[in-house]
Amino acid sequence: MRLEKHASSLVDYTQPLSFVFNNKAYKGFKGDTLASALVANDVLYYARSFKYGRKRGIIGAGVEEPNALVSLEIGGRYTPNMKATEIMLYDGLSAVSSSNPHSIDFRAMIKPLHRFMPAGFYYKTFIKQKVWSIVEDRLRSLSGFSKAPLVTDEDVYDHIFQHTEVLVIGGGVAGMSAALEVLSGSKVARVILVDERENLGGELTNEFTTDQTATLWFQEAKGKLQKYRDEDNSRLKILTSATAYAWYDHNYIEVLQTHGTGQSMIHESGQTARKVLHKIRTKEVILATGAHERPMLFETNDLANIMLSQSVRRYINEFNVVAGKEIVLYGNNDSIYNTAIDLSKHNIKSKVVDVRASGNESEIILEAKKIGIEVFQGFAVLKAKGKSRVTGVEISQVEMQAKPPHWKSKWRITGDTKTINCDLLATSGGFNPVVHLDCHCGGKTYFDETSQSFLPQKERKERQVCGAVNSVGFWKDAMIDAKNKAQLTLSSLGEEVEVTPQKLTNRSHNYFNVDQFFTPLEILNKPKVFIDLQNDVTTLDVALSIREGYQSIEHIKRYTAMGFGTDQGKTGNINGIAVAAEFLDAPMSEVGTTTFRPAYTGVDFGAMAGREVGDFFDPQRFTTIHDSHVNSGAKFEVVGQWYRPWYYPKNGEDIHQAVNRECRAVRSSLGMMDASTLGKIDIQGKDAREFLSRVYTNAWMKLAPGSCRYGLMCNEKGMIIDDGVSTCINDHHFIMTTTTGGAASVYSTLEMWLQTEWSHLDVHLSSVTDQFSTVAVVGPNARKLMNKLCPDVDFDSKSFKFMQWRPGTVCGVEARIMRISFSGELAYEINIAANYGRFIWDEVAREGQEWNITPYGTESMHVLRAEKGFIIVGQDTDGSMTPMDVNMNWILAKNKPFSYIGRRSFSVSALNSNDRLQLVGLLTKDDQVVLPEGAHIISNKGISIGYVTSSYYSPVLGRSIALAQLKGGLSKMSETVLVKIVQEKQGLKEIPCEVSSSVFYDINGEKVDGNE
Amino acid sequence: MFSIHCPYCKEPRDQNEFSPAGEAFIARPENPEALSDEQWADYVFYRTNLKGDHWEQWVHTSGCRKYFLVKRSTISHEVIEVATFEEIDSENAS
Amino acid sequence: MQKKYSWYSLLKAGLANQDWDKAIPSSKPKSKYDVIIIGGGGHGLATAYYLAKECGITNVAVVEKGYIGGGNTGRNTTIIRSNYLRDEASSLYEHSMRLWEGLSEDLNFNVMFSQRGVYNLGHTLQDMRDIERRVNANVLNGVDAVVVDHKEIKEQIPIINTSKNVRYPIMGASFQARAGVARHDGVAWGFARAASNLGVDIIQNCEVIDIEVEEGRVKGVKTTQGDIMADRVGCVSAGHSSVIARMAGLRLPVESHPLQAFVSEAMKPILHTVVMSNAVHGYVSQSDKGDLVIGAGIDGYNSYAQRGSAKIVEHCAAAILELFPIFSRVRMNRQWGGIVDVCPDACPVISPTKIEGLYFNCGWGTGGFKATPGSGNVFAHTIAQDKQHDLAVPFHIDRFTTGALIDEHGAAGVAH
Repeated sequence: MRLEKHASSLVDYTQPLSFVFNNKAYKGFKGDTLASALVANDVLYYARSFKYGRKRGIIGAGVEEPNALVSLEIGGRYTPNMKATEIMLYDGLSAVSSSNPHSIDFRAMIKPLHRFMPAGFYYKTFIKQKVWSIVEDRLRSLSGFSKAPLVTDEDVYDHIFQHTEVLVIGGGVAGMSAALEVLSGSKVARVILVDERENLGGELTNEFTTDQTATLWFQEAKGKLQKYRDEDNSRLKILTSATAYAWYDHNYIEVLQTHGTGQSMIHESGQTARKVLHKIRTKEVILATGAHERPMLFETNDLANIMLSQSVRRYINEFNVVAGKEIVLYGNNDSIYNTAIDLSKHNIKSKVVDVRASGNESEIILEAKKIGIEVFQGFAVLKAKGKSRVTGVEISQVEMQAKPPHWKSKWRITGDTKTINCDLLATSGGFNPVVHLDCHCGGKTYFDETSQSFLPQKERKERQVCGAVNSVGFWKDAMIDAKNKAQLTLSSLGEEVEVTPQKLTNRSHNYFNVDQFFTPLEILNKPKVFIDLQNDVTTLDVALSIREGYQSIEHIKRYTAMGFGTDQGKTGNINGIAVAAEFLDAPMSEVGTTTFRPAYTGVDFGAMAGREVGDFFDPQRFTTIHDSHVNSGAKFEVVGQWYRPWYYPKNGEDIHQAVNRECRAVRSSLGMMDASTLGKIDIQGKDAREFLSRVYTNAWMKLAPGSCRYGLMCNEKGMIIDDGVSTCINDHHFIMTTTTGGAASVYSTLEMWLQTEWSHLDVHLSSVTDQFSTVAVVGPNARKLMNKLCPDVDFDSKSFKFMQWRPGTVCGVEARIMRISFSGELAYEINIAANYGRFIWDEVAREGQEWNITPYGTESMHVLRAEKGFIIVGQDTDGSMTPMDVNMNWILAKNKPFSYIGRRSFSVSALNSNDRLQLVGLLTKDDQVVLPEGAHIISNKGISIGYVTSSYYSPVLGRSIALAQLKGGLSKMSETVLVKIVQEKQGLKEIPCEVSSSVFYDINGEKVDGNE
Repeated sequence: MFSIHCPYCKEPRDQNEFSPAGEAFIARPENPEALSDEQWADYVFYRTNLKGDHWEQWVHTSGCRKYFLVKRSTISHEVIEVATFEEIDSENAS
Repeated sequence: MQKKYSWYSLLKAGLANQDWDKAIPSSKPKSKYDVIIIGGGGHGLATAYYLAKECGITNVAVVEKGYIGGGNTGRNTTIIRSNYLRDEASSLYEHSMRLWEGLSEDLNFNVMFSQRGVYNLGHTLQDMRDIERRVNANVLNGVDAVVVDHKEIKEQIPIINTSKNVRYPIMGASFQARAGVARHDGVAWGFARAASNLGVDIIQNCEVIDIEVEEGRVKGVKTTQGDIMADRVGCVSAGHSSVIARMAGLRLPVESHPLQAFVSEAMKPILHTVVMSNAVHGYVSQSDKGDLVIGAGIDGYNSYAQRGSAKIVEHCAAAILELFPIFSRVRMNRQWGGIVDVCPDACPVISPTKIEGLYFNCGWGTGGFKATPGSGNVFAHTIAQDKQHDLAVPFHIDRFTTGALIDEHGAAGVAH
């Protein structure tokens, strides 16, 4: 029901909005939440519960809401599991209950069976694996809330890094006061003030109806804050609709700000991020996160229109709506009287049921009585009456039998029950300070007897708590508390402030004066006393859990599913702890809380990922030549982050045809390849040689300037981690090449050795991978082309030998030309400044036309190198192969004075076993059969004795070739082994092969000088 | 998400810029060949894995690329001290 | 003897106010046991269970510093598979898999082992080579596995993005049909209940503060609940293994790191299987309750704090969106961290030590949960016979000295 507009309302009656809920059209106003608009329209049922399928109404007004789950919109804006209370209404909004309260529900249909389905039911039944596997899928379809989205999100999300001196979390009276105090007390400190609601003020708004001074204070404080925010070089940022949801190490706090829930974010001018994740690093935190009200426990406390007292109050004051006409307020603290008084201002009658006995009344109770509100003191609600919605309450007199220590005091029900009719029941069992965030990163809680709640630990470095989270309830006290704490913050920042803590007013009525949890066993032992509404956890479930030995609060949680819902037990968990304490006969402080973990409220995966989705998921690296490859129709292979040409199909060729053509061209005339992605490390300093000798297995002391050498790199385990050619520019300058994928890790490993172990060596490293482009010109006609391209270098094979390099000018561009080969053919690698890459590539392609120069990709490169038995680290080795395993003992220097990396491990016993996997060649008996890579070689007992690492059809040999790791392979030359093909679709097959040398082509290396 | 004061850049920087590089003060043996297999394995594989204030190496990967030392609690993640290799070695580390 | 769980007992209890025996009796320590197991997680409780059931040693105490199943057992993403590359590892995990397949019945406790299958995706040519190699090895070892192509993946998981125009297109996957998930807490509870039924004492809130060693022999442990003597002590304390080892003057080849996971809010069933991708760093399944259960990578630094870095979790969310863009508006409900003890070769240590009577079962890294029954089983036999179970032999701690590592990392990445 919508009430008449009043001063403190946040709803704008001049802006009506239309929306649809469960296929029915409704009207609301700007400033409404979906929940308040539905309450205005007298909607009672919002969803069904998880386990029993019970129809549920709304109980809260904010993020604590456990029941009213809806899905929002359809298509690219479909959002599951939104709380109706967190959705700000917009025009055209469309929402559907996550579990329709008006349709027939299987869970509700089997109601008579519920008694046989206690907590832990599934652990005790369907024990036969076969039965479970059938039953499980049926059960799955019953669980879950909203349907999952099926369409890709149309919205985008941003991340913003923020740095500040002070982060104030919570924009209620405490947070606002604290922010102002810091800003006025310091000339430099920056402040970020965040609040999850759309407007500042928090629960203070509730005071506006009855307390003029609250309104005035708020207007003034808000004005001051806005002034700070709007001034030049502002030190204040205010983030509203922004939830601080996770606190990580070193005061790093993540805040999710919502710009849109379900409305379109695509405008004429572009697309706005739906949400922004602020990553805030702060020196100091002021927590003013407030408190959540907890409900009272009684039988069938889950009926529709049983709400929290403070929520009812908020609905009246902020939204001008109320869910009933005949209202009972029930609780154990003064907040219910505030609600009653606010209701009376709107001429709504209410009755108050207060478990506390009369006497020692605070002023608010007296006021309530004075204005004629009927008050039942020393009474409790035993049961809510009604089928699905509350129609009345059964109440009875109660008394507390005090017993020391206080937690042993017991409530008892005395007297007869009587019934009061109502259509709305609002309860308050006290308040739970929102300690969640404080506990994400090491903060502890302690149990406070006065407020019967867990409070944040008193002292924490670089953090203050104030206001309701510190169990300070009265707004004026919250203001004082905040100022006091802000002074401590300033002082911790090193500001010269006089810390003069002001005393709190200690007003007699305070929500945080709660005598004792109201948990008499007479009530707890009834069925249908719900603790966790979303997961249907009852007091009896907790009792059973304890009886069965699941007694740690974490076990209770996990056994009953208490607090596992989307509300994370914000309202229910503390009641659950109180109930557990009652059944365990232990103090709540001993029972303790479950662990508070991020996220405080749900965070969209999209917001977590930010812009790192789609093309931006991982950086894409392209060589400067990339566009030429694209123009040539190349297919690409992803290697590390690089896109490398895989093969260049022509005229509808498939990969095999293209590769055969490319390989033939290289072997018979001329090919070209983009080798720019290989890692390049520039090594300078007078100890550069010594350094190379230490990190490579072979000798480097005598490599002459102008020469190149292949090196193999191991880790200390003795395993091959990388290989490549290094070039001696001069005695103090080398350029190392690494594998494409290994570049980054090799570079950082080298730096590690240099900086942590060998800082006395005069060596400096720079990664220059991106600084150079490399065009490889490969094939018997390579020299001819080079002569044409580069007149200032003598390419004669006698003067420019294999494994040498020369500086030269290629097409007018300064270049380093290395004569190295990964194919066995005559080959030159032209290294030029990266910017010239494409120019040189295109020139090479053009000038090479007379020899039918053919660009080739990684696949042909693999075939060509395999024909020569050159390994690919990471394909033919896998992190567990030694140089001996790949038959490269020749590369292990014997006489280096320094025990190079990995050498010592070569002598441990397992590395010298004859049974190790060793790299060999495999030749299929049927030379046209190409072995599948990854296929295993089997012994005559059918056990794996190795596997195929590389396998190709070699066009130049006219047959297949393969490299394999084979146990003891190096001593099995010429033996026949079987390769097993296991995959069904290819049929079970064993392919006989002969073990061979891994060099298949040009065994004597005669091709390396090419054609004259 | 740590904030680490790089002793070279002389500024606190976000953890994203750094990479952890293992337990500190595990010196490479001067003469590996003279070690028993056990001693060698201890150097290569075995770790103290301390629960408490742990000296470790970090590298400012996306910054100055320098390796340096951090004494950090593996319980609370609090960084207690940072130092360069020149400033501290296994002898004078506390 | 505890009452058996059955339809009959459920019916009876339903009519009689849910009168059940204690599934997990809380014990106070006796002064002496035949065997003490340090660590009341899944592995420790399984060890105790198999000691009692298969080795005839029932005078066993499991001492747990907190509540049982509160460490990595209750913090993992519950994936169970046995498609490991190396023979040694796959034999051990397959042993475990076979135990899983009969576990609920064996324990008379439904651990909700659900064989929904696991896809390990490949995104590059080298991924696919590695997948072929692994699947072939699995089949030869009697482990069910097949290689599937991207079309088949799309058929089985229609919501996955198999477009070629993404950063890491899905090229194919290995699929193990017998793999799946289980209810992690239930595993700890089921083992605890069954073990205590056989006479094992399960002692919670009992922290080991020292190990008593005399002349190279273990004598017992000092705990916060007093001294407990035993000639044999098995340590199964996962992330805290180094801490316990230190009490006995030992060092281990392990390091402890944070490993994080998170769950979404519960939704109606949308994903019926388990999808893992090493290339993009994420794995996901949907629980029976309806939440997406997602595992992220480990943080590189050492930690005992049970929490990690935001960037790991956020990158993981991005990885999940790379595979399932439709989950963008699904919300993370809760995240947490565990402490994993990682061995240099990504394989566990199941081994006697230099101290007679002191055994370690540790180093499971990110793969411990799936091994729970198998690990407990071979460790129980190792302790009972003071000789490694055949399947545990390759996992001797001496492999780091001899060099006989079982490098399960496999291919270290494409590098050409």
